[in-house]
Amino acid sequence: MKPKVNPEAEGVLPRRLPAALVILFSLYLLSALMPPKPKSAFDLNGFAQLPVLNGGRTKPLDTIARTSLLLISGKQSVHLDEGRTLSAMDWLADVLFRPAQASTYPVFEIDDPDVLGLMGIQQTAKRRYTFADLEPHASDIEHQAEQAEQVKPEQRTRFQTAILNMENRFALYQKLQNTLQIAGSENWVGDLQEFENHLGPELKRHVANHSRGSELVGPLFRELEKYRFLEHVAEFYPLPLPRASLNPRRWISFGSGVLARVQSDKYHPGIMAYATLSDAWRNEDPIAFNQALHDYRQWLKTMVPDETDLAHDEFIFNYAEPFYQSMIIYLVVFLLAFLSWLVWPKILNQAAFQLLLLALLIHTIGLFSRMVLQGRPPVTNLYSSAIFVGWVAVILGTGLEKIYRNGIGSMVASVIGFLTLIIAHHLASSGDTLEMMRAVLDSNFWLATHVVCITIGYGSTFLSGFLATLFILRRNFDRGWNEETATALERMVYGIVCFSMFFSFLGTILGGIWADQSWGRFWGWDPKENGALMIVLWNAFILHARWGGFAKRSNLMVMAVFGNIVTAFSWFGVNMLGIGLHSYGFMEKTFVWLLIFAATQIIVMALGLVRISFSRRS
Amino acid sequence: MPPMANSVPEGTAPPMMDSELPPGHPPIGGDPGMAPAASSKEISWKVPEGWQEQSPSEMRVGSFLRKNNGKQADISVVPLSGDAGGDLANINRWRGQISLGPVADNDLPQQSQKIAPAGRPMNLVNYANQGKRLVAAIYHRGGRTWFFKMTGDDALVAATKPSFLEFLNSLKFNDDKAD
Amino acid sequence: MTTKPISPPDLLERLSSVKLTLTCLGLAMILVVIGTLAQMNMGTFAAQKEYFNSWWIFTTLGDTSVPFFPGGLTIGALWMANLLAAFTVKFKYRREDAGILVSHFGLILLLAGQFLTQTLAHESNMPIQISQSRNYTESFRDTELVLIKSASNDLDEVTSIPASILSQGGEIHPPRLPFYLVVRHYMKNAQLGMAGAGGHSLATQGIGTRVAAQEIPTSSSDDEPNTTTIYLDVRQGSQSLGVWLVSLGLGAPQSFLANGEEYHLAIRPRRYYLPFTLTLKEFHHDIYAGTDIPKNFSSLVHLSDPAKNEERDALIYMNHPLRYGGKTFYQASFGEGDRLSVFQVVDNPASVTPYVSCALVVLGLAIQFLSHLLEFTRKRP
Repeated sequence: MKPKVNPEAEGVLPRRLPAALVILFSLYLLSALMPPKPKSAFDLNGFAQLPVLNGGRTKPLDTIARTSLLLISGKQSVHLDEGRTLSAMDWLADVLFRPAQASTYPVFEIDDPDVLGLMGIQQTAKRRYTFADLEPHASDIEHQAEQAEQVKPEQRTRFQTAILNMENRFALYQKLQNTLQIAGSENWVGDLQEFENHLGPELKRHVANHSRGSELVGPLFRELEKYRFLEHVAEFYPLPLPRASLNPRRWISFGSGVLARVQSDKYHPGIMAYATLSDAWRNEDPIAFNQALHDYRQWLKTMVPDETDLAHDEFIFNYAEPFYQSMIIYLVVFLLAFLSWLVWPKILNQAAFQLLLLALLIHTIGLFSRMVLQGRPPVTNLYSSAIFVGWVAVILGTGLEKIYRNGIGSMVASVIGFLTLIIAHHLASSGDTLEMMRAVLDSNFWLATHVVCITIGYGSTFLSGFLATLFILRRNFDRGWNEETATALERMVYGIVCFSMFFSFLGTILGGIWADQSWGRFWGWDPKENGALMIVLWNAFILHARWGGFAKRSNLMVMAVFGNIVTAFSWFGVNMLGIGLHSYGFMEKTFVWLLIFAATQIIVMALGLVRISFSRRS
Repeated sequence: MPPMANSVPEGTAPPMMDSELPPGHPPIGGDPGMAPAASSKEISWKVPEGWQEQSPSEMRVGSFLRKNNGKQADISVVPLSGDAGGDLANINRWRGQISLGPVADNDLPQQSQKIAPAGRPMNLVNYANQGKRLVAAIYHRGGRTWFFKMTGDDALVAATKPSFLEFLNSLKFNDDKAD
Repeated sequence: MTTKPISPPDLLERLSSVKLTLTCLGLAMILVVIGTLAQMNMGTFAAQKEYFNSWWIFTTLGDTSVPFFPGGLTIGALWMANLLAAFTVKFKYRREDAGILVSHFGLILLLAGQFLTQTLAHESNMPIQISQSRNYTESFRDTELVLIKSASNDLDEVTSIPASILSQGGEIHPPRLPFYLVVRHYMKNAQLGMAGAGGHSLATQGIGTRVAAQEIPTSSSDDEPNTTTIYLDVRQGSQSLGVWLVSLGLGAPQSFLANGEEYHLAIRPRRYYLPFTLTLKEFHHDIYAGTDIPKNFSSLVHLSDPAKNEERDALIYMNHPLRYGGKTFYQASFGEGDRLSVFQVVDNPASVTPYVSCALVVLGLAIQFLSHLLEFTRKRP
């Protein structure tokens, strides 16, 4: 028996490296679980956890702050001119309670020179503008947006798309300003007490004395209009009603809550709570703020315990940023896997693999947290599909690494994990709608089956494509290329293509069955269906080429790389068809990136067909 | 690493196009394509004094004549589907009928008047040229546009305008809840 | 050199080759790409007809239409031939080939079923308002010219002429009518508006004297049907009763007298009559709180079929259609503030084939790949 010579046992340090790295990164992750430090005496973290209803689901104010700011500004924080930075929650609190102050913050990201020109501003290096900059031009913006809206989306000019986008964000800001108080109130508690003592009873008297539908006149009408405005314009609904209430809605707007006082004998507890918060925030009174907040949160815990808990969890999810963290770790895994082919193969391979498992764990936690928070299947929109594609590819890659232990699985898994999470990040920040739609018509089942299968198909096709890329690059450039690695890769690619074939076919026909159940048409040659079909056809092409003897090793790899192009276009390209290729921002950039990606893959395919050898092999 | 907003709350991501509906499903809600064809009794009105109802041989909707001292004013009610080419195009064609030049889109608010007989928003125009006058109202309702048009002798049409407005006030649609 | 005639076994060999399969797959992929791109310009329905449901795709070179790519039917037929040939001469019927056999058999069924669906299935829709009764469905795209005469108090005699006949122009002699028709001008799609000065309208009677019709390109969107418009000359012998403008875009029918009887004239979406009647009793539409997003919608209809002694209520809602009389009524859409419900009505005798065939394909794939996987794990403990 040959004595085991371990050339890497050059000391304790390298051998302990994997464990050390895992511990290091675990500590880092645990630190990410600590809540953000409050910058002032105000209990902003507590305020951020207040649950409200928006877009069909309850969520913490923190989410509202982040998504609104992200939509308006493209970032989740505000950089003030004097160098200070405001968090999203800080910003939202000012918008809600100190609109005059908030309107001086540069948050509106405007890139289009024509939109700026509409407001008489010349484009400079400055990218963000304040609400005060925009407000004088409100009617112009609305008028232009109205015109633009009448044109079909694929026929809009660049300006029209941009101005519509601008108007959406502008309107969102205005709605936020008028959700929890009449914008500009200086003494909101006092105003509400005034309503309670005078206006309310007057209105009640009027209703009792006059027939339905008779017009209110004069000052009573004007006052009432303000509260009606609050009721209708609200961006979110903060007040939960008891289950036994007569109102069919579970959550109502602040304005509704005020108006409800006319017929009931006291305000909803949230009314005075939010009003106190508002006044305290404006008057720089953290003690009053924190007290009112604490009391109200206690009340909410008894009233809507489930929603309060979920809001708390979502708050943690928001600042923990699991996908960002796993993305960092994937990058480290990539470096380690790459290094493991140069030096200390066993140790670095082990380190890479263990960190990969850690990253996968966080990625999985993030994915499942999303599912729990929304009560939806994992893939509901383009953003979540990117997260899921990455997850599938990483799981498969991890499996391959476990079987072959040669760093290939880890490398490919980390690359795809990293790339898909970056894509997801970009999808999130350039979104053109604020909130994804809630389940329409029992679509949860089909989302869980059809969409998940298709996304698994995407993920696995990308995996085979990247494995093939690795094959081609290593075969051409790596001196250490050998038959064993080649065979292993060939087996991997073939196996994954079979896997992709199965899931992409299954996913495609589940879509057809869904359509048939819904409206009687199994296959309608819809662009989305066609995109999925392309992947099925290409995978079938590869398999038949192999069985027919036309795709031994190199051809198999080249075809698998082409599968990347097919999948990328199917995933993103189809979405662009409806809007057309001329629309602003998001779609334009996407198309450019798609072309760049396709070009890189074509280069790899060319390399696959041509052998470039630097090494002298016998 | 620069602070990136990575694990963004799900909200900001753009939805897949109609991801919630099966592929190819038609859009839900809103007015589905064509409005159903008019039935004979879709609209009714109170005929003002002095208006002779013409036999509805043209279209089962409305045709009236007012005669006075040998002069005529002709009143018609015409429903067309959709927006019938847009208010501007139709108004300019009417102007052409009495030899007036067309107006531009941004002049339209000055050249027409917004009225609301019985709460229904309509666009009213009133043009006169070379002894002829045209008074007409355009009303968009559901998937259809209703044209109420009075033309004829300048003085007679001007004198009939009040009863024309009364006529508009008296309109009753079969399914009035749509208003 | 003598050339051997291709004997049937040779032909079958060639038809069953993998090369043909690859050719079909490749052609299919190209077809899907160009067909999908074409949809942007001409709408899904037109693209489907021209690209996927046709034998050849044509393009115009100069003045002539030249076929430049096989259409969906040709590719499908080739593929079917390939599969059948493979079953005849290529596939081995051993136990280890079970997966391949099952999946490819399923594929044959799938292709055949889709072909049957494309030729036999018929879709129409039924917009119905609350308390309205309907015993017909309407085509979304096809229109018909109707001449209606009141035969008695509650019966109308309707003569309907599909637009496909109108588009051919010329004379039309409908039986049982005391006049004949000449289509003076046919426009597949037109924009109607109030008439202006100076226009020479072909119409001599009816609303056509007040309404102008301008021909516009046929609709490329699947949401907008074409406003079929004609100028119709109604003649008796050598005399014309008048020329009418008849259009889908007119908001009401017109009428005229012939031989003392009143006839109504209109163009409407083509109707397909049913031997039973549906009445919409209620429509419900729930939305998610604080949004416009529909949670569910449902229609309560009353089904009346005296011939079969059926008088019952039925609830139609998403994923729960009403199946009756060979037709399936799906809740598709709604409008007009919840007073209008729209059903998609599908008549497809081949509707079950996708389920059977796809189940077979999935089963076949699973068998095949699982056996690969087992083989692989056995070799690599």
